Amino acid sequence: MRTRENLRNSFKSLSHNPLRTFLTMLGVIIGVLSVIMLTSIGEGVKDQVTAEVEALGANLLYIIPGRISFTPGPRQSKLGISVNPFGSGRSSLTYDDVLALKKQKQIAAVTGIYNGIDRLDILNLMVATTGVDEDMAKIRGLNLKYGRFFTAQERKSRARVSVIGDQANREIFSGRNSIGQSFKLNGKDYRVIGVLQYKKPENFGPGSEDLNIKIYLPITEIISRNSLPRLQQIIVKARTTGQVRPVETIIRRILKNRHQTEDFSVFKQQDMLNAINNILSILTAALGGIAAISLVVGGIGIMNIMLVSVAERTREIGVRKAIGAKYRDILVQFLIEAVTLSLLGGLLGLALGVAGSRMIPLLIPTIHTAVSPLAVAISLLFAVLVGVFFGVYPAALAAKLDPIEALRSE
Amino acid sequence: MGIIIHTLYKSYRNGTEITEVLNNVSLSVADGEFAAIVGPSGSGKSTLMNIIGCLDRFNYGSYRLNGLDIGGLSQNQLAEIRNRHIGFIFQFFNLLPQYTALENVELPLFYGDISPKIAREKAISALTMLGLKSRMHYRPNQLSGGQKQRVAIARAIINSPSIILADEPTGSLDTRTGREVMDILKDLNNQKKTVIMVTHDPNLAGLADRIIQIRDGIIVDGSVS
Repeated sequence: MRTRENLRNSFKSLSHNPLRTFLTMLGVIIGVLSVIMLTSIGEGVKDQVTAEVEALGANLLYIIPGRISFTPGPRQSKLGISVNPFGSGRSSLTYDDVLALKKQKQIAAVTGIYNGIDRLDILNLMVATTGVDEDMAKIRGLNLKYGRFFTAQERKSRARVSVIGDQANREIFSGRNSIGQSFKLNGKDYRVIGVLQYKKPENFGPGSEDLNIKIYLPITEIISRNSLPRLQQIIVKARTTGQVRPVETIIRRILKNRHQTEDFSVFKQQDMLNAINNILSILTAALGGIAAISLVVGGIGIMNIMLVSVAERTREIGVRKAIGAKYRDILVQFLIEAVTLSLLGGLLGLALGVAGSRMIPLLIPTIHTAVSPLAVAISLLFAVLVGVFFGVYPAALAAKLDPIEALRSE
Repeated sequence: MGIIIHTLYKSYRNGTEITEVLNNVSLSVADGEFAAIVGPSGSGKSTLMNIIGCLDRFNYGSYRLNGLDIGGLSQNQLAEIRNRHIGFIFQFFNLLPQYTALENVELPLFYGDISPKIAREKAISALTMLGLKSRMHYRPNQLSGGQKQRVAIARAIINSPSIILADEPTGSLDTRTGREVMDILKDLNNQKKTVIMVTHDPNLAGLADRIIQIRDGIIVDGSVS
């Protein structure tokens, strides 16, 4: 059959000059290799970011005071200062909002966040204190080195107890087990009931804070001695990731009802993740696209060698035509050769690319890689298309040769 | 049937210069004949043979091969005629160097869409017939000149063509192996195949039934048997 003959022929002529075949494929090999490697790094970073963001809690919702709108509303002049921009003005969130949310059974945990500033007497220093609910431990997944977190009872009774971070414990109690001991804030005694485990500080995400320097106090205690009982933030945990959306609706309804206006914003961890993933996907695609240019260069290499091959084998083409090869036979023969070159190069590049992306994390442990099947499929397909595209011209040139002229050539 | 050529003209254009190669050629060759075309170089004998072999086109006149009007056929149809009806034997063998003898012989069968299994059987029997059974897995560069030409003959006859065209078939062989090749051609002729041979060697031409002499594009002798 013709197809079999064409396949046989292309393998024969490619194996006839293995060095040349390899060098011709090299362009495609490098092209596919770089597409696979670069996209695998991109995918790896995406996975890493996803994992870290999800570790912060994919079922968390953040309520922040102020209405954040990225598009101006109707009949609103663009000249004016925004009425309630993010971060400025007075917070509209109160501890009563937290109490109202606590009653909802779809909500697994909720805490208000009140950022206070108090004088730490022992060091004679103003320090940041954080007022939270007992649910904070559950929401943040806090691990305690010593002791325990507050109880609901301690929160309700405004007890002067505290859970402190590792660094705080080191500076106040020189790292000893300080459970049951007290330290003075603004001249009053606070009893330590828990010390957090050391945690490497994180660099991104809404929860990016150094837990080690935290001084957690019951939120009710801290509010009771401040003149401005407004919360900076409320964090809500839905029972499951799937309940994030319904919980968001519930939060909006309750708070809107209480405030008579939507003077707050709700952010989901999921939104953050989607935004980051979108940016990373674009970057990965851009990297892959740049790498694909080298694939095109590889294609030009194939075309070059195919033209040489057609010139060298003019006589062979004449002989084939003399014994009955038609236009299509010669065309397909050279096209198969070009595609075999690009496909073989693509497969080799794929193997090297996968091996390479496995190697990278071993050499540079901070970089994670993940080979995406989509990138593999696209780069292989692209390699074959490059072979067809750059093979057509030389193949058509060969197929159009006049049999007599071809037979006469030396 | 056979070959009937009538008032055929062929010229080449080389820039502005036009070279008349065949000038009013009429010729008929009956089935089963053994004809030799002789003439000095540049006389047009190769061109005439290429036209007979459907490799080359002509400008004017008519050519009927086995009753088929060749003048009106497309390149692909000509390729099919070459595959089915004509077997070529060249002076320099024209075997494909990357193929073994067996694969070279199979080639026309593939272009004739014969299944690989049958092609292999046929090729083996053709090579066996020509005494090359022990050499069928050799590549051309491992074969002697006479062996190469026998492989080429096997390739020419594999598709059972009615016409064998041989262009100086002994031109690059020594006298003894040349004689062997002539014997094979003679044998093929005895099996009712038409053999047309181009040569400038009068001794070889003498072995044919009929000598067609051509000079300056005109047949001077032997146009009709």
